[in-house]
Amino acid sequence: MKSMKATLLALSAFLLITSPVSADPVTGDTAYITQAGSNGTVTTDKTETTENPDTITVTQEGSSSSETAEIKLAGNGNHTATVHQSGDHDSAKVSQLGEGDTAEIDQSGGSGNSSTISQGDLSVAGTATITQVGSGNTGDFTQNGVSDIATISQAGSGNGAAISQGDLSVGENATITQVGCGNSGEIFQYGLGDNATISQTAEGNTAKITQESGGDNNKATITQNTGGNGNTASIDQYGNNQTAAIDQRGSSNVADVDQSGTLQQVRITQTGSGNLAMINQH
Amino acid sequence: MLRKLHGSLNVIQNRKMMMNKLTVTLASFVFVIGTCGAAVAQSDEEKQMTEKNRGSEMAEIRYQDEVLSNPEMSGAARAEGARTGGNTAIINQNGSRNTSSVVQKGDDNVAYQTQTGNYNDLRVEQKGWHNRSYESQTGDHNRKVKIQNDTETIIEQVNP
Repeated sequence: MKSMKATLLALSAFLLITSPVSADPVTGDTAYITQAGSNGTVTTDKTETTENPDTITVTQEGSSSSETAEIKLAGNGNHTATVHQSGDHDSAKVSQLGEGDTAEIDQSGGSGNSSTISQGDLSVAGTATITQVGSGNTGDFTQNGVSDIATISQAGSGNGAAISQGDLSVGENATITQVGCGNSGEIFQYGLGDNATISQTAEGNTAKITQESGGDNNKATITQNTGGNGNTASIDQYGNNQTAAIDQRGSSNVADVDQSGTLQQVRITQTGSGNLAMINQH
Repeated sequence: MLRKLHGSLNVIQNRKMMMNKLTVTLASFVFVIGTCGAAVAQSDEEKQMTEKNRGSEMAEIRYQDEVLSNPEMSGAARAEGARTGGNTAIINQNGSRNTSSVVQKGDDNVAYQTQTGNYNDLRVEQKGWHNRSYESQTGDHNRKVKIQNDTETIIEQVNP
C-alpha cells in the first residue's frame, strides 16, 4: 500500500467525501475530497517517489469560511493537485517536487483568501495557476526549475500577487493579470531566457518586475493601459540583452526602468497627463 | 461499479462548479468595471491629443519596432555593446504635463524620446562615447534638458 496520508478534520456539521482514496497500482493514486461547511481542514502528504502520476482534488464549497487545504506531492511524475474554495478567509497550499506537475488553486467569490504554490528544484515544465475573485486576496508562487509556467489571475480590489522563479530557472514564464483597483503584482526571476508579464486594469495599482543578475535574454512587460490613474510600474533588470516594455494610459502614472548591463532595450509608452517616465541604463 | 458511480458524480460536480465559477467571474468583472468605470474614462483633452497624433505616433512606433526587432538597424550599438552600453531607450508620451527622463552610462547608447502635448519636461543624460539621443516635442510650453558628457543644453519652447 503506497503511503498516502489523508487527514480530514471538519468542524462543520456537513462533510462529504465523494471518493476518499482509491489506490491504483498502475496509474497512481487518485483522491477526491469535498467539504461543505466552515473551518474544515484537509491535508494530504504523499512524499514517496513514484513514476505513476497522482491526482488529488480538494473542494471546499458552499458558504464555507476559514477553511484550509494543503497538498504535498513529491517524486517524479506529472502529478496533478487541484483545490477549489468558494468562501472567505480560506487558505490553500500546494507543494510539488517533480517533472510535469500541474497545480491549480481556484478561490472564487470570497475575500481574504490566501493561496500558495511551491514547485521545487526538480520541477521541469510544471504548470501552476491561481485564480481568485474577490477582495483582499493573496496569491504566491515559488518555482525553481526549467520551463515552468506560473499564472495568477485576480479580479477585485486590494489583492496581492507574487511570483518568484529562483536560482535554477531557465525559460520560465510568469504572468499576473489583475482586474480592479488598488492591486499589487510582483515578479522576481533569477535565470536565463525568462519571461515576465503583468497586466493591470483600473487605478491605483502597483506592478514590479525584477530580473536579477546571473541571467541574460530575459523579457519583462507591464501593461496598465485601460485609462486608470495613479498606477506605478517598475522594472529592474541585471544582465545582458534584456528587454523591458511599459504601456500606461491615464493620468498621474509612474513608469520606472533600471537596467544594468549591455545590449538592453526598453520602451515606455504613456498616454495621458501628469505622467512620469524614467529610464536608467548603466 | 462504485468507481464508475464516483466518476459520474465527479463529472456532474465539476460541470456545476465550472458554471458557478463562470457566473461569479462574469459578475465580478461587471462589478469591477462598474466601480472603477469613472476613473477609466479619458478626458476630452487626452482624446483630442490621441486622435490628432495617432498617425505620427503609429509611424514612430513602426520605426521603433523595426529598430528593436532588426539587429542590423541597431547594429552600431550592438556591435560595440560588448564593452559597456549598447543600450536602447525609448519613451513615448502623449498628453500634457508629462515628464520624461533617460540616463545612460557607457558607450554606443541610443535614446528616443517623443512628447506630444503642452507643459512637458524632457531630460536626457548620457555619459560615454558615441551615444546618440533623438528628442521630439510637439506643443507649447515644453522644456528639454540634454546633457552629454557633462555638457548641458537647455531648450525651452514657449508659444511657438
